[in-house]
Amino acid sequence: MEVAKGVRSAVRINGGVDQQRAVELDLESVCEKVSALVSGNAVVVFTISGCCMCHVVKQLLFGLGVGPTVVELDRDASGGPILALLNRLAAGGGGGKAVPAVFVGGKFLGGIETVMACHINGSLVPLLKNAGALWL
Amino acid sequence: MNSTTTQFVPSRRMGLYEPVHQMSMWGDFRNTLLDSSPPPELMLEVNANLDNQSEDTTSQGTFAASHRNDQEASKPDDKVLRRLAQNREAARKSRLRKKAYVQQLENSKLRLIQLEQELNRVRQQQGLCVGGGIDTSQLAYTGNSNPGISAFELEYGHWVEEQNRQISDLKNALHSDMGDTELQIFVDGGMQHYFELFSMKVMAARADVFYIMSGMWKTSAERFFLWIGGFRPSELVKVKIKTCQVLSPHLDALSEQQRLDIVNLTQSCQQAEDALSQGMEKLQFILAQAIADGLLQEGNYLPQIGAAMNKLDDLVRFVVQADHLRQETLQQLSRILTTRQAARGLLALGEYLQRLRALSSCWSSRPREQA
Repeated sequence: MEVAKGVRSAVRINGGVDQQRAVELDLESVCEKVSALVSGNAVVVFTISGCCMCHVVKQLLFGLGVGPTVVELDRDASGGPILALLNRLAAGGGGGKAVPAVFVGGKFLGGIETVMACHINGSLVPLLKNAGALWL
Repeated sequence: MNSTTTQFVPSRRMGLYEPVHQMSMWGDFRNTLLDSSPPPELMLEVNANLDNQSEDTTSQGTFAASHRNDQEASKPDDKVLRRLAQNREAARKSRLRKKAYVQQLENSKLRLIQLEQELNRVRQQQGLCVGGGIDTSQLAYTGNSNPGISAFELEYGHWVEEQNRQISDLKNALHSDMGDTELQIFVDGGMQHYFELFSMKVMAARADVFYIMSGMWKTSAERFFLWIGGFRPSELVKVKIKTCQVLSPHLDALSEQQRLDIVNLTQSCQQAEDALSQGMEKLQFILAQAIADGLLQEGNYLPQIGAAMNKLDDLVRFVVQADHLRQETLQQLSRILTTRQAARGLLALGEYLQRLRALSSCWSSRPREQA
C-alpha cells in the first residue's frame, strides 16, 4: 500500500538510528495501525486532550465544514507508540511539536504551522476537496 | 589605578627621575579616563594626589635642575629645560582632561536627576503601571531586569528608527519615476524588516511571554489593538489594501482576479485568527482551572502553581503561531499585489503605525484636568 509505505519511509528517514530489532517490529505495527486509520478517513487529526493548539486545529477544520476523525492519544490504548511515531515525523520538519498532527487524504500534512500556512496561501481547501472532506 | 597610587613616591628623593615617573603615571590616568568610568572615589583620590604632585613636581624639578646646574656646569641646560617644559605640558593636559571628565560627570548627574523627576511625575499620574509615550522614545519603562527583554527593548528602538527611515525612502521612491525592479527592492526590504521584528518577538516571548502578551514595548494606542502580542493579521490586510480600493479607474487599482484573491485571503485570515482566539480562550480556561484547583483546602498552593507554570509554555506557542500567521498573511498579500500596489500598501501600513504612535504621544502629553 502506497500510503503505508509513505508513512514507514518517512519514519525511517527521520528516525535516526534504531538499534533494537524489537523496537523496529513494534514501530511496524504502529505504522500499520496509523496507515489504516489515515487511509480509511479523509482527514485525521491526532491530539492530546489538554493541548490548546490541538483545539485551534480542530476549530479551524470545523469552521471550514470538515468533520475530521480526531484521535486523542492520551485516551487511546496505543497512544504512546503513536506519539513516538509522530515525534519522528515532526522531527523531520525541523523543530515542530508532535501534536497536533494532521493527515489529509492518507498523507501527513503537518502541524499547526503547516496547516495555517496552507490555509493562507489557499492550498488547504483544494487539498480537502480532493480528499473528499469538503463538497462545496 | 591602585598600582599607580602605590607607586607614587615622595618627590624629594627621586630628583631627576621624577618627571619620567610622573609622565608614566599621567599615561595611566589618561588610559583610565578613556576607559569607561573608573570608581569616582578612587579618581578623586588620585586626582588629589596628582594635583598635589603636579605643583610639587614643577617646583621640585626646578629645584633639582637648578641644584644640578650649579653642581655640574658642564651639562647642557636645554635638556633639563626641555624636560621641565614637557612636564608642565603634561600637567596642563592632565588638568584639562580632569576638567572635562568632571564636567561630564556633572552633566550625567543632572540628566539622572531629570530622569528621576520625570519618572516620579509619571508614576504619580499613572499609578504603578507606567506606559510608553512619556517622551519621544518608544520604550516603556518596566524596570525589567530580564536581559532578554532589555535586549529586545533596545533592538526595538533601533527597529522603529529604521522603520521611519524606510517609510520616507518608500515615499520618495513612489513619487519618483523608479522602475518596478528597483521598487521591488524597497518592497522586499520593507517585508524583511517586519519579519525581523517577528523573530525578535519570538525570542523575547521565550524570555518573558507575559511581557509580549501585554504589548509592553508598544505605545498605548497600539496596545488598544493588541491581539496575541501584536496586530490582527486581518487588520494588516485591510490597511494595506486601503489605497487600492478606489472606485474610479486608477493606475494601482485592483483587477478582478486580485479582488477575488483578496476576498479569499481576508476570509482565510479571519478563520485562522478565530481558531487561534478560541485556542487562547481554552488556554485561559485551563490555566484558571489549574490555579483554582483545590481552593480553601489544606496544604500550600505550590502544586497548583507548578501545574500553571507548565501551561505557560503553551502561551509561548501561541505567540509564535500568531506571528507566523502575520508573516504568512503579509507574504500572501505580496504575492497577490503588483510591485507598485505592494509598495503603496507597505507605505500605508507604515504611516498607519506612525499615526498610532503619534496618537499615543498626544494622549500622554494632554493637559491634565484639575481636580
